[in-house]
Amino acid sequence: MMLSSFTGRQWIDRIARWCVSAVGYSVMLALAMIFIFLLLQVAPLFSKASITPLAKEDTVASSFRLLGSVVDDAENSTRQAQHALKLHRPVDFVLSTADTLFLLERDGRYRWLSHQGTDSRRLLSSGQLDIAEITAATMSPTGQTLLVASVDGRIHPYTLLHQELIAMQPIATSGTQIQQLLVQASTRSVVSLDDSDTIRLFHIASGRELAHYHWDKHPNSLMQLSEDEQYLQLTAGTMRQVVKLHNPHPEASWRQLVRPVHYEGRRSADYVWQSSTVSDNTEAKLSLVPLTIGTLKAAWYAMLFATPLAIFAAAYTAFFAPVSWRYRIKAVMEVLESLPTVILGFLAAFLLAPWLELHLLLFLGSLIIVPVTIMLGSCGWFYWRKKQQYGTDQPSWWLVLLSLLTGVVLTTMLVSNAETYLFHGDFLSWLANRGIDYQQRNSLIIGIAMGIAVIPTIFSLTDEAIYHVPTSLTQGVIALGASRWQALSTLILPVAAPGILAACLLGLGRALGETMILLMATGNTPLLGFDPFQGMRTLTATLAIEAPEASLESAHFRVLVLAALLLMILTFVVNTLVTLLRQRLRHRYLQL
Amino acid sequence: MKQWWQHGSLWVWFSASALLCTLLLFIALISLIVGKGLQHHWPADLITFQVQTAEGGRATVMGQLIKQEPGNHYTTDNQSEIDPSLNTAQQLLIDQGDTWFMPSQGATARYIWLDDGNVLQRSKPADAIRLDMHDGRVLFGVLQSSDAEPAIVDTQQTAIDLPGEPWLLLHANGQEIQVDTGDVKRYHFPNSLNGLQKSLLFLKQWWWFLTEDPHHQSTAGGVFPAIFGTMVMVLLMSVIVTPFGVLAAIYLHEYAGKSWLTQVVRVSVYNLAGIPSVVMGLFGLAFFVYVLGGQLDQLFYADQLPAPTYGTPGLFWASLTLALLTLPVVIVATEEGLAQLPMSQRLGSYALGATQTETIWRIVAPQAAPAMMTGLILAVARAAGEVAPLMLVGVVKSAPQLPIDGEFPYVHLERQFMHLGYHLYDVGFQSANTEHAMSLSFAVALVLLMLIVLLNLSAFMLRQHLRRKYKLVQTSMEGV
Repeated sequence: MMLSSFTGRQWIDRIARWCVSAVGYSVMLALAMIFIFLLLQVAPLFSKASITPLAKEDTVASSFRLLGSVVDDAENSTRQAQHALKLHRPVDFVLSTADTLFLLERDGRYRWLSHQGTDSRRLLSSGQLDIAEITAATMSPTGQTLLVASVDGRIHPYTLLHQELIAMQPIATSGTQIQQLLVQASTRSVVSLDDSDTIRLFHIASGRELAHYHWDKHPNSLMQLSEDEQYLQLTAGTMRQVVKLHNPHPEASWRQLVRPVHYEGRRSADYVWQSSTVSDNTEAKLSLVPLTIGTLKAAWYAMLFATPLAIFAAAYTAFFAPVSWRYRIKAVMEVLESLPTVILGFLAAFLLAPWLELHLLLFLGSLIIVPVTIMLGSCGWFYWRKKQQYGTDQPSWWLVLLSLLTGVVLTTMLVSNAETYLFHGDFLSWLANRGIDYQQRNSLIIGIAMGIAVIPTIFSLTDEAIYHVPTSLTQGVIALGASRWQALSTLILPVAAPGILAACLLGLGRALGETMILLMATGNTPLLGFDPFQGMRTLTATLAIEAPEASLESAHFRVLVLAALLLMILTFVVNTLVTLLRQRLRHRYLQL
Repeated sequence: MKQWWQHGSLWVWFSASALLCTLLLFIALISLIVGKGLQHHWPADLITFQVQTAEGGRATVMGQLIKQEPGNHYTTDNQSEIDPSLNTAQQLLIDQGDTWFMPSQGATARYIWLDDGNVLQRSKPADAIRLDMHDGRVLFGVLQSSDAEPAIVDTQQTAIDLPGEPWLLLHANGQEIQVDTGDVKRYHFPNSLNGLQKSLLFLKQWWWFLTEDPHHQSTAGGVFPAIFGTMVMVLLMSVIVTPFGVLAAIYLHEYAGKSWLTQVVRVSVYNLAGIPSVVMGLFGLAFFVYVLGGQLDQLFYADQLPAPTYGTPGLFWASLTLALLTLPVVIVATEEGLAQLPMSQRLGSYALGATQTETIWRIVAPQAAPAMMTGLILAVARAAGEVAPLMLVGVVKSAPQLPIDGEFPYVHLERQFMHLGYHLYDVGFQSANTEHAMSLSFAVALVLLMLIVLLNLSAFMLRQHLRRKYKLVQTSMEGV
């Protein structure tokens, strides 16, 4: 009886252990899966494009329609153009789109005409391309990009912008002369066929070679694209070969994500994030640089605002203030930490931003004047106390508050006068005259709003780090005659430094991942640079705005996942550092 | 001077003022939300302004005074050149009720700025009435027709169900508006209410706000579906996160040994608490909604395809995503509670012949229960305040149906829902009538704030209580 009940209990014990362990494992697995799943989502972004020949029977089976006969087309349009323009001699390349006609000579002279209807033609521009000899030329169906192959085997893309040809980065190929060029419009890529009978696929904007395929020894071959642009037919005499162009995500590569790219319709190479395009005619521009800079900029201004305030406040709470205060202040901070950021974002966007626009000078002025007032207050107080032979360690809080308020009042008075006399009554227009553009939703707003969100995080950890420094250390130094500040600055802060660093890092981690404040109060324009009076667009805000609209398999969605992964890794690294630092701190305190 | 510098009094002052600044900021923030949020439902007086117009004539404006500030809102046509003397003039922002439906004449904007210098006379007519219509309009005016005698109408009565003659409302701009009594939802005479009556009305207005549906793109009505959606979502999340979080914590602390691997896993789990919530939202969208939801649809709802049932953002996926997000919170809090229990208690239990399961079930878990509770409350507080991930996995501006209703199967996990935080984002941003939206947003923010602060404070109290209790246990043990 005894024995059986014992084994029963043992069984229960064992089953319970299994169950709990199973749940534990599954939770860990689920958390690891997040990372793996996101990685799997990103991976296809970097899968290679390919050109694969189709077997004869597949060719027959796959019924695709070709985009007209190239030869006929070219001849037709050439004849048409000659007829219409009453040209005396044939033009080497006649490129036509729906409403423009581009006539190009081998030596680089060109004429560019618009044609509406059948016979109303107008010369848009003419000139000379800076190319010695042209071997092949083509134009994208939208008429935005002209591609010209020169005799040295390079492809020169031009973008047509306001009746002007703007040269883009030339695409370097193998160096063999190119016979024919075709544009794969849907992917913004170009297919080239050169003298060595190799087909190469390039992404136009980035100049990246995506794939190539060698068709054995068939001189004078011709390429034709299928209507859906998925297949390419090669013909040489009676020989025929169909290849499949597999080009899944040409718009996303490391180069495009992190380097400046010259996109069609733009004047120069730049970092551009423009994922949702107005029409199908414009390509998605997916540079992560402006977004990453936006994230860093927002975090930088938030930390600039939060770090000094939080560390000083925590030092006071942990070291100078009475212990009974400490608990109350910590409770307040805990509430502040849990404040939903959507509320902060709302206040920042609809109260702080309009207020700061009217009182910018007041804010900037108080950054200087208030500290000066506090300095004066402290100095005066110190000598007064000394003269009276009181202790000089602890000012009472209302004195500090008084000097703080004095500073604010003083600033208000000074600033309204300064604005009238120095800045002709309006600081913002004074700034604007000096070429400084002030946006209502700018980095200062973000600095303050996100600073408020980050302060409690930094505060709590700093407070813990300083408070838990063994008291024997402090007592020793104070017994030797140091003031409390001297004890703090020379002894306690160095000891607690890893903890304070951890606090700042944790705050940084929070600032990097914050979304709602940034979504509401930044203006969400992807900008470069760290200008304090300009807004930004961050990775997180972009995720929140664009992810619901991006379709699952698209390059856009995968790039967004990549951005998420980037954020995840960034915060994970930061948080791991925090954990390590805190462990080290604990170890250090145990040793002391 | 040197002495002062060396002594460091300056830095003490700086740190004290940093603390004061932070606390003042906090107080300002909270009082701003509370003040403005409460103000939204306060029955403000209707004031009649006699205004001198630019042409020299007179006009009458009646409405609520929203705010008064020195400014240059409507000074001159040239914005860049502002006469400093004009800056001192007070500007009054008046809410004169909806006027858009009136035939052309007069101001058409609901909110208008008046120059204080142009106001000749202010008065508060006792018979001024505020009508809240069923279609969302708000009308201010004076009743003209005979059958609704202002003197007799109960000023506290608010719902009208007496059909009768249409009322004739005289608007301040001189137009008479015919009002069908059936269209009137509520009315009151704000100027003739005394303090107590106003307070009662104020409470009633809050009650309506909390229990009614929003209408007119959320610019009118209440926030009930948003509160309900938040609650249901959070409840569902708690049901999911509690068992997993608690069991994972027990596994980590009681079963998994003290190897380096456990340590790595523990640190990783803790770090997951710091992962940006929007990243979790994206994971929820990509995995739960598209992958899992798509599979579910193909398996069980194939007849409704291509219209997705679970393959689209919804309540269940939102709860699941937030559960994943708050899992570390629960694990950390529970582990903390487990770690605070002295080892001696477990050893004592073993010594009496109990198995590990019995020890955990009978000795450890009951004592760590408050810690689990704390973790859950913290998780709920975080989930209630999160908005960004929800934007990806199921929250919408306005949901036609609640996720729980009388229709079989009663709980509709696939439905999209409303959420207080998102409602705040939406009302603040999407609404054209900004002044009104601002005021409404503050009320929404206040509700959200109250919810979160209550949850957090209770968690804080619970934790403090717990710490004190175990400190006592430990010290008494040491005494032994």
